[in-house]
Amino acid sequence: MGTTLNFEQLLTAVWETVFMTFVSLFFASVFGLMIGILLYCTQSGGLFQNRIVNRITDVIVNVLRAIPFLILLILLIPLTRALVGSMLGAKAALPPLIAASTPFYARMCVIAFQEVDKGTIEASKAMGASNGQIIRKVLLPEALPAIVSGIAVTGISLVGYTAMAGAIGAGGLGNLAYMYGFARRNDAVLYTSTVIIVLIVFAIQWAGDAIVKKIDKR
Amino acid sequence: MIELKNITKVFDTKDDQIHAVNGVSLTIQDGEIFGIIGYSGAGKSTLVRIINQLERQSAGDVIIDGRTMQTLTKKELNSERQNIGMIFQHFNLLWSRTVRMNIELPLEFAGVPKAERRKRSSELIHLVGLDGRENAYPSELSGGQKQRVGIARALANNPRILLCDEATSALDPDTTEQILDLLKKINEELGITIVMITHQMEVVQRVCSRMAVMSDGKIVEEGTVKDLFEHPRHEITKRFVQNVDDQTPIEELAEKLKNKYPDGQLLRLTFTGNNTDDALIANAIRKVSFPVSIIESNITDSADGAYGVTYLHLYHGRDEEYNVFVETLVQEGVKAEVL
Repeated sequence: MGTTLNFEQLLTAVWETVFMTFVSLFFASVFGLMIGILLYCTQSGGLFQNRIVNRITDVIVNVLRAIPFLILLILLIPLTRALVGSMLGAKAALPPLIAASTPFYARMCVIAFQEVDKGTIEASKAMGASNGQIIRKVLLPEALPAIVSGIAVTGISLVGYTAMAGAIGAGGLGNLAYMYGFARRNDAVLYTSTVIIVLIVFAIQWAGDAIVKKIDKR
Repeated sequence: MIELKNITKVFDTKDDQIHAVNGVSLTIQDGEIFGIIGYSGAGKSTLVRIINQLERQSAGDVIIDGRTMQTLTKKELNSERQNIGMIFQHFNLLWSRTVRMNIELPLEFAGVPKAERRKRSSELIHLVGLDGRENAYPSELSGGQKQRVGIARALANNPRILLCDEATSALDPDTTEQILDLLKKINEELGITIVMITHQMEVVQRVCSRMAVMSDGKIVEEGTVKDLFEHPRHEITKRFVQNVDDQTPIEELAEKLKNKYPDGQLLRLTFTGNNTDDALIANAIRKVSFPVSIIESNITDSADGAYGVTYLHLYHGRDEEYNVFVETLVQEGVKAEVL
């Protein structure tokens, strides 16, 4: 049973986890927000009501969300190979991480938009706003606190996903905890990795809460 | 001029069709304050939304200043909507914007440059009496202040028409009066046509010149506020008028008072707005020698003078003297009834 801790290894693992989490969080936020706007605006009674587009997007989002992440990792291996050229390493984890977190975040955005007072949208229409103006100047600013807290929630779930991706070869703290902490029974590595993951999650939550508190004037 | 011609709006529900508006025709003149009164579910909110096409009518024409609204393209409609301000029962302000930024929102939509927006919003903040509150957020304002922001926002693009959808229904009576006074001032100073939707007769009475009564998607009675108040014909109108007249039905009250004052004479005076501000009752009293006491009174000030009912008790006098008193009042245009 090992107890030694390789700091260089640990540092690399922390960096890999942070890299995977934040790069995929960035893409998931951008794509998720776009899909969220699409879902919200095409729904019945929406700004660009379109049943067909809404149904198709809805089904894709639901299917992606229904597939367990571990299985999604495996299913996306061909795509990952084509995009990244390898199925190992932190970069190779990005496509499945983004594919898993984007629909999750898109759903949170739809919820955020639904909480926007319909009256403000009606008032904007009465003022002669175009749909684009309503999205930019009313919908997004009014939903911003929920959009930001959604990013934090997605970021936290991404940390969990990176640990799973790590277990099948993506690197990071999950990989470290599994390969060294569990397989080689090194408790020091296992607990240190766990504590660092918890700290990263806390940091994301704290940052999210702080920003929401600052921007929410309700 | 707003012309509504045979407007019908049908909502399809799962297994039924609801006629929210059923064949309404109305003409609202430039510069007037027109009230549309009705109980909830009467279709008045739908009707006002058809004016600026937030709702599309199922049939009929909306013609504003000669332009048929439903034939406009989306772009034309948006620019036409900038000529039609709207205020709401729940204000519908953006919580994420300050007072000033809320007022500037329609100017941003209209593509007004920043410096001009700033100048215009300052004027409007002053007009609605919110000086010093420009950087407050809606959550820091009272209901009355929020509606002032709503009004300023609706006026930002210098509209010709202002639609008010139950604009005072969420406010207490004092604040309601202030907001109504502000709307009246805007109508007088800026000459904006105002269409008010309400279920409160006091609101119509205080500011409107003409009104329509709506029930079940139809207009059941239409005319000047004075006429409808004096001679309500439809049952619904009578109910609205009576609500202002008195809380208890008129006959019941008369009976109650007669029992209370068996001697002398009981007089009911009805003021219908055309009277001058003269002290009519005091002048009549000066002509007679017997005592007169006001035992019950419900007079409201309105756009055309005083409205309401006053009950007088005359005693220690002779019938001839009572008649002199009554005639003096009748000559001044007051409706007097001996009970």
